[in-house]
Amino acid sequence: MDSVKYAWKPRKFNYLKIAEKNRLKSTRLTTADYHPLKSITVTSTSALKVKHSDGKSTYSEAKGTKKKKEPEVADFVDPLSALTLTDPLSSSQESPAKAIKQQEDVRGEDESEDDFEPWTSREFVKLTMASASAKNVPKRYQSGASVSDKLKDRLGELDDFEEGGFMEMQNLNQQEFMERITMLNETLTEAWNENLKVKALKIAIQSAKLLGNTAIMQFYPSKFVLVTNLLDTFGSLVLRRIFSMCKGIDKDNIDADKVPENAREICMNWLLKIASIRELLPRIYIEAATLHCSSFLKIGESKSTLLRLTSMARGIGDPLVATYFRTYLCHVGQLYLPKFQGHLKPNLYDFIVTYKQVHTASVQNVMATQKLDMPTYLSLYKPALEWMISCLAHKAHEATLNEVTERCYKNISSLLLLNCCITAFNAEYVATRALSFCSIFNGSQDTLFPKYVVYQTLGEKVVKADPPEAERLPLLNEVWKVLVKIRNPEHYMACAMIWVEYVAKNFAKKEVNTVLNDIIKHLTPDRAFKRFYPQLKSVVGTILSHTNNFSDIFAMEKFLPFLDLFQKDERKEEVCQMIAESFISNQEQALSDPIAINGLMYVCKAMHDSINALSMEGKKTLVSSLVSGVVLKISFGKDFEQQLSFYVECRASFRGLDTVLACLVHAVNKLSAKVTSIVKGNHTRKTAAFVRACTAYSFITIPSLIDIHSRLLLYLESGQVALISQCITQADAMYKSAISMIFELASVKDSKSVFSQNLLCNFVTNFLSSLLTVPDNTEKGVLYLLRGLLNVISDSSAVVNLDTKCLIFIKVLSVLTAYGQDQYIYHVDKVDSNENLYSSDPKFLAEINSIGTTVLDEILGYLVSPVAPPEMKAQSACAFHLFETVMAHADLDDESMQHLAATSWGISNQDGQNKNAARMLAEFKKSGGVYQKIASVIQSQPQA
Amino acid sequence: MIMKHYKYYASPHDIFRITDEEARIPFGFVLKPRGNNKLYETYHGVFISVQYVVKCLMKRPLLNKDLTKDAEFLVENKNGERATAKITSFSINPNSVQNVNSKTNLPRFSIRGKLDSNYCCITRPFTGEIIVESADTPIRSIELQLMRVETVGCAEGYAKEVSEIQNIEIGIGNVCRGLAIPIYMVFPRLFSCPTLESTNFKIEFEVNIVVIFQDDRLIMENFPLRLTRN
Repeated sequence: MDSVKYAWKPRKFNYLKIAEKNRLKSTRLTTADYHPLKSITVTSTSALKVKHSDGKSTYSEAKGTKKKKEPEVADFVDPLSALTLTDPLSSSQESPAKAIKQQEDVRGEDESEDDFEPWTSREFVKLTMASASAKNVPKRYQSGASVSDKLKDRLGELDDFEEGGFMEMQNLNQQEFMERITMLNETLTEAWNENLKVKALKIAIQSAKLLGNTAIMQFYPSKFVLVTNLLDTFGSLVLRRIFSMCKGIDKDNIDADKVPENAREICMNWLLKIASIRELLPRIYIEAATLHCSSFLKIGESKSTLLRLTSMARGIGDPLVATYFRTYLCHVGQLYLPKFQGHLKPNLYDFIVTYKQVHTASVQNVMATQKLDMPTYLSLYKPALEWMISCLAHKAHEATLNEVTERCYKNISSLLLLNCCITAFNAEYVATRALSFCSIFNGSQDTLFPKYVVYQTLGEKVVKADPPEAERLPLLNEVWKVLVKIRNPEHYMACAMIWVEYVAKNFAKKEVNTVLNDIIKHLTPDRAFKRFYPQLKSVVGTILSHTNNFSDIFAMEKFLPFLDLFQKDERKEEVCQMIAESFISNQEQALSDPIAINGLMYVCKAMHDSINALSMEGKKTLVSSLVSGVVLKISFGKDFEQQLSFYVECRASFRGLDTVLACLVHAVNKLSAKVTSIVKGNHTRKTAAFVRACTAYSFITIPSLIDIHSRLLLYLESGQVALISQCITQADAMYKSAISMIFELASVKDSKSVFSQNLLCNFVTNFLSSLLTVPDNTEKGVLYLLRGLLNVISDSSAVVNLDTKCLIFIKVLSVLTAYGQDQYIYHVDKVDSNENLYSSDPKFLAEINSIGTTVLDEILGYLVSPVAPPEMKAQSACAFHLFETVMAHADLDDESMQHLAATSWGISNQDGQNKNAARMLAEFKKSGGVYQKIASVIQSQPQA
Repeated sequence: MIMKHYKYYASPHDIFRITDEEARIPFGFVLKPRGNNKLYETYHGVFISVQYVVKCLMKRPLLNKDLTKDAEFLVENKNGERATAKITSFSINPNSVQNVNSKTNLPRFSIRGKLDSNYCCITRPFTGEIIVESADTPIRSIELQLMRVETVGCAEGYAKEVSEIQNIEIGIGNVCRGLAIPIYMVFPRLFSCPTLESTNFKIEFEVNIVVIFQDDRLIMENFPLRLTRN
């Protein structure tokens, strides 16, 4: 078809009238009561009694209740407001002595807030069980063998075992021992299930005998855990068997009178069998494991058994074995009789009495053969003692704790025991007595247990709970006097790490500074700090988390030297990142303190300098976001000039990171806009100079960014801000740079992809909207910027696809219409746009129309050109856009415009894809007027 | 060997079948001693045993062999003398020992303690305590030996034999000095019975407390007991 030339004729709009017409109608409120947006209030408070018989009645009742104004008498008592019961805990004001006596026998009922670590979650238990289960029990049997065959094989092995095997087991190394024990455990259960109960008992006895052997002492605690696990299994099997013979007996409250005769008989048999075991250790261990069975015979018998076993433990000569047996007693006590406490104190006190055994020749000889020194040997007792003391200390009255501490210290002045006490007692108790504990440590003559461990434990407790006000400083002084003298850097750091938290929590920067100084002094000789980076990092973390005010942190003169200790680059970065994150999340007010700013800049520069060409993307993003966050939080209030010079400094320091530069440009723009809003647009000479400086800053900074898209957007934004600040020439320069930047898009990778094209299209649309507000430069001609843009777009086929070009040109048509109005739809305050410059000069309007016509030619040229089928859809879409634009912006009274509309409709529908075509046409016809005419023109067109 | 027989015949109407394979026949009898004799309690010993056995004999027709089965049951005499508590203290030191070769080679030691009673109830545990006040050589173990003393006599003479029933360890290793270690032992069921003195035999019991030192030397202290079931 011949290309028909169309002359563009824009429509005239009266924006005010349109706005008026489109505004929503408002109705005045007649009464104050009714407002559709007021919340629905319900005034009735009675409970609704729902009748299920008749659905209708429910509804009417509900409706009826709503209308009631007076609240009815409540039918139910609100449990939350009816708290007339007194708190049971606060009502017990008994004297301490009585409390101790009560505690001796029965624990209180209050079970809430249990911070008591049960047996299985104790550290050494967990570790042992984990490493035991990690080992694979070797599969020595063929998979085809049945269970009973396997069992027979294993029991056969067990027989060989019994002869010399258990002796041999004493000499196995750890792994093999663990494997063996695990296998024994399984064999035990299987033997039991096959009704070979005597064999099961034998296994239990032989395992318990293993605990009498202290050949490898350091392995003893783990051995203990494994063997007692087996014994617990055995005990529970026996208990279950007896339970199965009693129907209907409550597990927790066994009433001996209700136990049937056959169950009694079986129980008696077991007890007699166990009581006849010759050797002491297996006998008492198995009696302990089957403790609960005796309650079937007589009420309360298990309690007396537990007490008896406690005293029988005195028959064990080796203190290590005895202590662990006592631990087992506490464990089974906890398992079966959780409320009974009568055995706890005797166990502990007996241990204290027998403590002197560690000094006897027999023990010393064994230690010498195994080449153990006293501190290592004593540390083997730690898990056992901690368990015993924490069982005792759990919910204990304060007087009990006092008594225990005194006993522990008076008789043997052992730091080991004191350490375990402090670990086991609750934090509040320890904290209130921290100072007195400290003096005890200082006065202690005990050289067997390392002192720094005790201080470490004390520190941990003191951090959890605060000591009384008056004692805090003296405590710190006392403790630090000791710490300063510690020569070994490991010990020193272990303590210092914890006590730093105490200082950070309770004291101001002066003390923290002193502490930091001390740490630096301790770690500088021999460059010891190289070994302690994780600890130093945690020190910094602690200080950061407890100090909210960053000016305080940097005011500490030793803080930056402390950071210098991190000489390895990665470590330094980690710490800097930590500081920056903490600053961003914790600092609420804007910071303006110069010292702090100096410090933070140092930190940020360190992070920035760590980024090089080899850094990963994620790290770059992280550092950029941290630096931007820090920079944004620094504000000088009303001192804008200082703020700007600060941003200039930042630009110099952080020129490697694109995101930071972009952030700075945004910040400067924001500054400029703020100034303008403060002076409400009436710039003085000073403020005008300032905003010009801001614009200059943006103009200089933007080209240093690497990413072209960011540059484009920043140019646009800076241009808008410049215009708002009434710097028109600068705005022009910005927009000109933006336009020329489009050429550079060609260098961007995949600039022809749909994504990039969309970006470009969006940018240009935005740009065109902003151009509306820009007054022309009279020297350069009418619509100079617009024409420049058009030239660039038409010339850069390397950057712009044909369909994108078409779309852009269509948008230009709408802008041209806007340019042609008497009053523009929007302006920038105090900036005269073209409407005032030209005042609808006919030459200006003619110029607009000619540009419009040229553009239209280009568009139509593209639309009628033949394209490959994949692009046809895009082409039809373009054509439809044109149709829409024509309908919205062209003067539809003009016949040629109507034809144009029809043509574009025709092109967009030529592949028959538009399903809504018929409906739209019908709508047009209904609308009447000019639309109807267009519809008829469309229909009169021949189908292409 | 004294055996007393009781015979019980099942009459036809006592027999009832539950299934074709299983028939249960209840029975019962009163156990009465013959003449003036008393019923002694069940006791398994080395030279003397008192056993009560039920023997079931099933006679079968000619060609099949008769079937028999024995089952032992226990007899306990609930009425007996009442045990009274009488605390027995003891003290062992180099001066108090007898039966020694030469007193000069004795290690230095001092041990004392007490038994809660030597007139004990057989159903209750045997209790007491022992304290090692001092000992120069380390101790290996402390043990409790329960012994039976069986005396069998006839017109010509009598024979007395002592043998061990059980050995219970109450201390292992070098025990702490000055600490009271409990003595605790449960009397075994079949192998002990109340002290029995009859016309031709006697069954008595005694306890030894044995302390063994590291150098294999040992000290033993003997305590005769009287047991009853009440």
